[in-house]
Amino acid sequence: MLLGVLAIAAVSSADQLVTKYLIAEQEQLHGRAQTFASVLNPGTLDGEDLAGSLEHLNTVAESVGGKVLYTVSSPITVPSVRGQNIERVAYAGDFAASYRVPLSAGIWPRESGGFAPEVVLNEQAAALLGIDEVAQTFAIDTPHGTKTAIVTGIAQDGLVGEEARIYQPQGSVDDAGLLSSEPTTMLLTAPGDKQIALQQFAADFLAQRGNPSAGSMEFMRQDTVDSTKNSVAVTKAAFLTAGILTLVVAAVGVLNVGLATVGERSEELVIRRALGATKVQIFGLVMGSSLIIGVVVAAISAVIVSVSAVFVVPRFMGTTGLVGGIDLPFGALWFGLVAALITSFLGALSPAIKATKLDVAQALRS
Amino acid sequence: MSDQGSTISSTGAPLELRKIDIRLTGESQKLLVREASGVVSEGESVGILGKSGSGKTSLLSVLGLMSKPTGGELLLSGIPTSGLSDAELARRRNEDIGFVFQSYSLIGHLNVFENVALPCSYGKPMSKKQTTVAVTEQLRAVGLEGFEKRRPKSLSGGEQQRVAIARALVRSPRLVLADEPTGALDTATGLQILEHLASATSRAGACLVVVTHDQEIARAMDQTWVLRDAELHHEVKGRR
Repeated sequence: MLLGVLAIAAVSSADQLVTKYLIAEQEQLHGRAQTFASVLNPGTLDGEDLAGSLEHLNTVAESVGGKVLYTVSSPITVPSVRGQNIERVAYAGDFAASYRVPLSAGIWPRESGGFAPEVVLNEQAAALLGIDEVAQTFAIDTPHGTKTAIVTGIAQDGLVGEEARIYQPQGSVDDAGLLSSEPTTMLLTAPGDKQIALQQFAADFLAQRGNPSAGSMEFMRQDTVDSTKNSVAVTKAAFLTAGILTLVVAAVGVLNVGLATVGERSEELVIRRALGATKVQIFGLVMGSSLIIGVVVAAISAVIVSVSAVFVVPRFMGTTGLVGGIDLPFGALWFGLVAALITSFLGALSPAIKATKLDVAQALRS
Repeated sequence: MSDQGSTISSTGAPLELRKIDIRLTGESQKLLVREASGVVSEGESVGILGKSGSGKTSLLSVLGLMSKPTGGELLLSGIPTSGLSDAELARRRNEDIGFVFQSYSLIGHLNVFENVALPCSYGKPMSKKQTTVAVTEQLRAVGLEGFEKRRPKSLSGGEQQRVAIARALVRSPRLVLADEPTGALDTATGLQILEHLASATSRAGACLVVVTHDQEIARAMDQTWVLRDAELHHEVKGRR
């Protein structure tokens, strides 16, 4: 029974952890859940157009509590590691609201930048440039010559291998990077119940623009975490089934123990009946003993789960910072308590009924 | 067969048997007791005598409301018991009848106090104080004051049976039924126990029915009923 209750608590914790982690990973790489995305063709927006469009979209997105993020990726040259492939992601909007990219150090840069461009490096770029803390500087090549950039943060963007990236606000990019020849991406993020409204605003925006080339700008809804959630649901169902099966086995165990106990205690039970105990009282006596076992098991489970959630799991979580620890699964603990009691009840039901059917006259023959 | 006639009007006596039939259940359906009748009056004692297998214990089981007779009627204090529900029978067993079993039937994991107090846990609720007073009084009556915390296993056979007597009387029943109360004891201890039983029931004003195969014990009672060939014969009164 203990295993069954632990399995159910583990399902809840694992579900919490896996869901958190996998969804966080999806949101890290592909944008937060339930966004609308559009890949823009190069040249469809000039500088003014871009500024106006962003302002307009920001206004409508904010009106429904949403966010807009416009990004352009292009290669950048860093003199100190010339020849190495480094990608610059210039962005306009709230990057952290659209992607789950935790910073292992520092902060996101100011939108417009100051004396020198402020950037965030991903871990690969930081390693490549030999930068291990914020406020360090490095030189970048621009059309207007070499400039010094200041590192304000180091990001965990989930990219693997050698893909070095520099994240830089559009306001501090002075080389019209947003109009580069590379395809650009626009993400609109909104709370679940506001997505339809945001989609409508975006559609209206496209229609109002009347720019023939903008006709290809179709905003597609992309639910980045749906498939992950489905996978987690399957895993969860499997765990839950295992937990329930374990509880069924436990109920059979309780049943066997209960029947054996009634056999052993039959003399005592018939004496109690002879001395005036009713069938209901005998039923309660046998059932109570079993329920006490259930409560004890549930209490032990609660302690194990609590200790695991608070002390053990965090030790294995690593330091990615992508997700925090797991919360104490109170729901699962309650469920486990109820499951243990129900298991005990079901397992004890037959022995308790059997106990009430003992022949009280046996008291004279014991 | 009873020598008291076929029709007996209710006397209001603690125990009254009216043409009780007891038949074995199962395939054999053997008749163990046929039309047994008798009355046990207030404060009276009865010894039921019979050979092994004669149906003594079955009759005691019926008298103790542990099983129902196949025929006839049993009255407790003038009230017919045949129509009582299981819960009502349990309540009557608890409040009106005290049992002393042959093998003591004490519960091993309970101490002496708890064993004696056991009937107080059922039936009409008794407060903790009332229970303590009643238990203490009964233990004193059987000479076991100071044994409250002892476990049954640590007691001798005679002491265990005295605990059983105290338990039988703790709810001040009108009737005490004893099944071979000295059967598991040596002669000297048996006599002592019998003395305890008789004096305790007499002091409590209860009537006593003792089932035994020992003629001496049976004939020491006010009445002697002999169970022979499925019939209950009433012998001339002895003495208590």
